[in-house]
Amino acid sequence: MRYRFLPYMLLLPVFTMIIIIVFIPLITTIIYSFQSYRLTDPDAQATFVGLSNYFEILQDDRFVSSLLTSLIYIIGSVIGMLILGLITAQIANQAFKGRSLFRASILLPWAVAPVVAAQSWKFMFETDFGIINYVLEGIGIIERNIPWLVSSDHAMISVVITNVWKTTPLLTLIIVSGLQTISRELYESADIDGAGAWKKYYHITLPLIRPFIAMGLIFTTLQTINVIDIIYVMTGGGPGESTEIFTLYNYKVFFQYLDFGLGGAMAVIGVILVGILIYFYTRSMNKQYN
Amino acid sequence: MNKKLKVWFWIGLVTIILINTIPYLWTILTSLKQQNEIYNVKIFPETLFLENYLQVLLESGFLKNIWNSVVISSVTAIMCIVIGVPAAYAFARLQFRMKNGLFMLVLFMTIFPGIFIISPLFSFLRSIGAIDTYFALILPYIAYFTPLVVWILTGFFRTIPSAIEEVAIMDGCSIPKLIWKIVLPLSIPGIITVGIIAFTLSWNEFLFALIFTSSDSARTVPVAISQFQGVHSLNWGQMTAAAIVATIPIVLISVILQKYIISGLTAGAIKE
Repeated sequence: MRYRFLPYMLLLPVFTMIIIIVFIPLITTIIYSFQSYRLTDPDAQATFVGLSNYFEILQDDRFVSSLLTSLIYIIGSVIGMLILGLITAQIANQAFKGRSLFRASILLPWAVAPVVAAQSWKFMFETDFGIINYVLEGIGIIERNIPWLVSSDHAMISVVITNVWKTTPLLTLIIVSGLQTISRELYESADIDGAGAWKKYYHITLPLIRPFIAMGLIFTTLQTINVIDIIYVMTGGGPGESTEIFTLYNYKVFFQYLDFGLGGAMAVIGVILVGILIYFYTRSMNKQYN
Repeated sequence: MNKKLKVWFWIGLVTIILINTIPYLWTILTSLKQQNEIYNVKIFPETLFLENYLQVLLESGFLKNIWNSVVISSVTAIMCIVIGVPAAYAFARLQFRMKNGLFMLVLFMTIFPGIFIISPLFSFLRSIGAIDTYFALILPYIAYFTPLVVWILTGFFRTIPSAIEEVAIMDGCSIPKLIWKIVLPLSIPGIITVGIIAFTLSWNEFLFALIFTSSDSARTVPVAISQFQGVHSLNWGQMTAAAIVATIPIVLISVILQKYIISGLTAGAIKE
């Protein structure tokens, strides 16, 4: 047949790139994880050490606590993104004057670099001259300045808020595209039955956009873990290790402690955890169809 | 909508516009203030203080960082399109074995965390002497952003009626020629969209840029901004001015072309 090989030829460039930049390094990371391989000593050779990196990392309290921190960071972000995203999408889906202005405001956090978002919020969270403490004090909610980023009690909520601000737009837009697939007739027949706004939302809208929410959450959750920029800039993982998510810790093991073996083991565990996360989401997405 | 719902609608609308814009507007305001206005929390600057911008642009290496970002992001965006268009065409129009599996793989690549493959990539780039060059960033960016381009363009190509192409094929037009002569001209909006998205993602990328550069010869804007404090010892005026300079082109393009970008970001989410 004429086109037997053509599709593969068209796909060849993109898959060559993926193989060189992702697959081969991924296999190399797995190989590193079974080796003792530190860059601190330039003469050191990588030697096979079996599973000892895995034993070491699983006994590392800091690793275990970084997983817990990631979980809190993800759950906090997902809750925030869902609330903000569902409300924003619902508004963006209405027809009203100035809708394009509203949609432009949704895109603003998406367009701003995470590093810039982090610096802007860091400045707003400043203890002594940050606008957030200034406003909260002005309207009488707090009496003394809250040390947002420099106390381990408040640092997590600060980075979660920043991440929610930066990441929600993507979720919002995916939910909007889901809302647009719902036919108007469904609501009209519900109107005839005399259903209220809440009831319609809960029984018609929410079930129909569920697959879109799940898909949006896969993207935004992965971005939450992947983009260490925000935490790196705002707290560096601190104070103490209160905001050190596991990808940030992995970065430090690789490029501050220069331990590619131990870091490799962390990365392999990370890949597995991300796989579980995606499985969990896709399952909840498919449930809808059954 | 009834009256009560309408009130809530407008309250929600205004609140969300404020949430989305205030951090950025506050950054703009701060960049126009003098040091003492910043530390005494004056909402508006008394005079428009442009010194911060002058210092950022003239007295630091920031212009070089911007130039690096422009070159790296432009080359990445163009290469993503060149590599992505044929692949997206294959997924949208041709039938072949393992199509669904390969498409899922592309989709998976768009969300695969870079940190998990970064150390071998670093070793590889170092061994070929590419660390701190444009190449060290362009190469992984193409690999990382092309899957997203493919995914968006596949959705886009599917919306174009295929009747013309079928006629062209019957007339003996080859597929590469067909892509070049018929599909591309019809897809200009889609191509522009993915070009902007790929450009924005490369412009904003941080992790690879942080690790694969070590000096201003290839350092991009996000890394420069993240390290700003060290050099300028907590000068928020200059810091925010740099942040505005670095983001204003992207923000303006996104806001002006919002229709295209929104359709691009959600193209893949809509099922056939």
